[in-house]
Amino acid sequence: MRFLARRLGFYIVTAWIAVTLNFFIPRLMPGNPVELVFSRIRHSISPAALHAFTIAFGIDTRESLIGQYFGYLDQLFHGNLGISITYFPATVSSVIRASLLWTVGLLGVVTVLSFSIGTLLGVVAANRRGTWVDSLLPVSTFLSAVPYFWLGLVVLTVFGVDLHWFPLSMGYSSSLTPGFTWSFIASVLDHAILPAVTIIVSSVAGWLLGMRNVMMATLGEDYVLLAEAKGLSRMRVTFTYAARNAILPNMAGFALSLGFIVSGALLTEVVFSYPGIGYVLFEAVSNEDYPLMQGIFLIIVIMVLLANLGADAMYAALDPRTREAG
Amino acid sequence: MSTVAATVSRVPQGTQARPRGWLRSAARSRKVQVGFGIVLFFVLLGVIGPHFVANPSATGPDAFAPPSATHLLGTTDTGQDVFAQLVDGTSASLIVGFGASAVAMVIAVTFGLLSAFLGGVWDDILSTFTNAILVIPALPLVIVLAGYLRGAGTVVVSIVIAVTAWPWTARILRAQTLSLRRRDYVQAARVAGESTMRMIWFEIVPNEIPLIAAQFLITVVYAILIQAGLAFLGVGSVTTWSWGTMLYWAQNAEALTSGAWWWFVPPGLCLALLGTGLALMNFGVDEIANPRLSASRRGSLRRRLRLAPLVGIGGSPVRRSSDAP
Amino acid sequence: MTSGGLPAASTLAVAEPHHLATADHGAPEPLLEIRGLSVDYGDGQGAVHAVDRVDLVIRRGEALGLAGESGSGKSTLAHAITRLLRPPAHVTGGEVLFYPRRSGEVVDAVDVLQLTKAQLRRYRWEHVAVVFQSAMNALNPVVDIRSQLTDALRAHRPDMKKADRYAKAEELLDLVGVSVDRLRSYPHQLSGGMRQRVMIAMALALEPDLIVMDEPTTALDVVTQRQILEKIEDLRRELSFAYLFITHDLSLLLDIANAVAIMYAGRVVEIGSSQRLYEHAAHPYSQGLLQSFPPLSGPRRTLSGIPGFPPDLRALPSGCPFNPRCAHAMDICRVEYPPSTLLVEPGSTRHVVTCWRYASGHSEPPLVKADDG
Repeated sequence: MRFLARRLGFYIVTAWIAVTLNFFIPRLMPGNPVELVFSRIRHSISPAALHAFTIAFGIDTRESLIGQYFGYLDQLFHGNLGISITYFPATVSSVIRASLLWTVGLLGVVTVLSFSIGTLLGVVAANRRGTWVDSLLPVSTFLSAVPYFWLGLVVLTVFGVDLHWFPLSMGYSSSLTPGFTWSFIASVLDHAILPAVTIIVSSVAGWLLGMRNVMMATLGEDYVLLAEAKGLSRMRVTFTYAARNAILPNMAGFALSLGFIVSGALLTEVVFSYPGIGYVLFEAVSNEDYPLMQGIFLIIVIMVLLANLGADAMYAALDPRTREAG
Repeated sequence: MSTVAATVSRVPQGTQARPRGWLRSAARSRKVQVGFGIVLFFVLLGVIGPHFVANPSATGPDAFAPPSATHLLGTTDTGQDVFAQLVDGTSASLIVGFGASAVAMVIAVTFGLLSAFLGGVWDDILSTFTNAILVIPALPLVIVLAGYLRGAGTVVVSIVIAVTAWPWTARILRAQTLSLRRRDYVQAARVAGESTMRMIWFEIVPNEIPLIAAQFLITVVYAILIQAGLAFLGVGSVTTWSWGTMLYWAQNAEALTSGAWWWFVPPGLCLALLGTGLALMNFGVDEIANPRLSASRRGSLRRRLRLAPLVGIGGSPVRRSSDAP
Repeated sequence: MTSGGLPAASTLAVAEPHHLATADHGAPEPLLEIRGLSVDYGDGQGAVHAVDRVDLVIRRGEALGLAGESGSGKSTLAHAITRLLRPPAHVTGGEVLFYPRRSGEVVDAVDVLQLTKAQLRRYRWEHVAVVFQSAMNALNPVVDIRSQLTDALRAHRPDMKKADRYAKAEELLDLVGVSVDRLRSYPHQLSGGMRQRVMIAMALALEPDLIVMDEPTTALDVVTQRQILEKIEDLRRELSFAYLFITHDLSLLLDIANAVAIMYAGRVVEIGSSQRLYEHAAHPYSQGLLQSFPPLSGPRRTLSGIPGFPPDLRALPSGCPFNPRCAHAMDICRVEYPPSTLLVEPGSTRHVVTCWRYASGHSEPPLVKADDG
């Protein structure tokens, strides 16, 4: 368990670095554009919100930098991310809360699917090396260089605009009220398929190539050779011996890949006008809504760190060597 | 945006001290040749192309015109020539890609080498910082940074991207440097009294150049994709032509629902093609920089036969390096 | 021991074991007979002949040693007879005949190289088990010892109950002298010596006829090495399996094996009983090898070693590949590969050497006396 404790410690440090970056970015930027925003809203918000705003962005305040910093941390600990300009006077937290579930739901399912499919295909590709399967590799390379959002545009044009198979935008049909009804859930799934397919197709190639590379190296290991010498079935040699070990470096690379997938997914949401965090971020950028932008940045970091912690727990479950010190 | 994780080189462990001939062997690699051809094509397109096409911003009477002899790739909603925009936007992607990657490599080399050479607490601090930046998703951070620099030009966007693009390379270089420091010839240089700086520049860095080259190539892909994503969101200058801004305007003008595929398909294909070219070069260089990747291929011959002398004069049995003590 | 569903390859010509390949005569019946086996790495022009027309017989219950420098082809040979070669290595010729015993009777031999995938799976471990050099690399790092000890049982004895398999695992660990409470340990939790013992226990799981040991003790310290070797020898006497012991350490082989074959550049250059080789190694290369290592027991010798480097298999010298390093090289050695010569056949001991110095018509060196042995 020391392994997980150490990872947790690292994620806390990472979260602190992200928070600190968030605090200093507005202060380090030349010609702070938040001042314009500030002058627009200063007379229409409560004194408490005004105070929070001034210490978060370092505008029009006499408090020392240290004081501002701790004031800002204090606000964060109380879940106060400030006031959104786009959805004025709604708070940033409430805007994020409304959109977060969409993103987490979509991305959670899609990431697990993409990882599983890609890893499995990687195992197959490594096992069938030297056959026609190898010719799929240039295709995977090309796919992994395709921007998610562009693939989204193409998919949307073909299956939405031309074929009318799937809806063009939103998370569910606007004629329905959200609730636990079959028609609503069906509508949600219907709306999620194209964004999901886009993210899966774009990200699966990365997992595939990664797993294939590690798997090829693992198949040359003595323990795989020995498993073969034991006369074990091909399935057991492939999965219990080779894949079980090859998946470990791939899981360790999860942290890095997740950042890419999240970034790609945010843009994909914009293409599909999907009501998640990515679309809200897009709106925040268009409206120069700095509190919302920064709030979303923090939330995304926290989500990614939590996902990483989950991946670490999986890793620890799969690799007995992490269960001891070290 | 896309997953390039898989193409990023893994930390090599058994790398030999490589002779300087790596460029020559890289040039012989089929992957590098094909990749280089693709990249060269786009570089030429970006440098020479703009002189041969019409003004990409000039509007015309034909809106949403499909591809024809006058407009090779059709027109936009305001009658601008898509082909002209595509050619003109090439250089922006290339400049941001190569510029950001170059800056990122400088940061990465600095962090990687400092971390490995300072050691101790400094190594812990630098490594933790490197890993933290690695875990923090890049695009949201870049958006926040670029959001404050409204209408940021190519140079500023490059620097902002570079700030998030260096950690993986820094990590690899740190590991590689630590392993190089243990090598005999570096130890020998140390015993001979060479200064640390001299050792870094003459013993360590030259051996890491193939690795840095591979990382540079893949970071270019990363930077180009991030730039396209930023431009697509309308962060930074939307009036500088790039493949990303083309997609931004296409999305805003509802090119999709108008069926104007010629507007948004070409820039995406160019992005993917350029990315593939760079990735192919990266694979090729990586196979040279990182022998473990090619171990399953022809390179295995020497490794399997282990032609190293075992019984020398009065020899003692040499243990294979793979044996755990 | 059953033949595990192996087909009797009556179509295969089963002749008397090759006379030159045998070390003993009138000794136990053959178990595995290698005939003219060749293995190449790669194809065509660039092909490297890692194993070249090797003949060798392993008899039931025998401890046969195989010695040679790294790159001599001994490990490739081990992988070839267990069919574990990985591309680009592949067999280019020869046979590996296995003589199964059915209720005490020797039945027709089968060519291991001709077995189908399913037959091969049944043949493996049931008849021939393997112990690799580095147990750290040969044990699956993420699976516990018990599971690795029993998965061969699970695959080969589908009717065996789980409890019986676990009991067998305990018995096996006990046999090699590892504490039973190590069953649920993972490889990284064991010491190097313990891991190697686990490897041997694993090899014994199905009571095979033959265990191929590829440098099983090279990675261990001298004391542990000694203990493991004694364990192997005890177990062989108790369970009467044969083993092929591969190492570069000839003096160790002379100590433990009944007979020893010496390989150089992919060929067997000398074979004889340990006793005979210890006293009268005939091939200049064997003599050199003997002088490269201090003997584990017996009187000390002066170490001298062999000058020069192991041959580059991609560019072998013409004639006898050892000639550039040989102090006795003659003109013919640089032209033609030497024939094999039966040196002495007193009683049950054969001694065969492949060297021009002993070929008929060439000068007989004074070193060998025909009445010795």
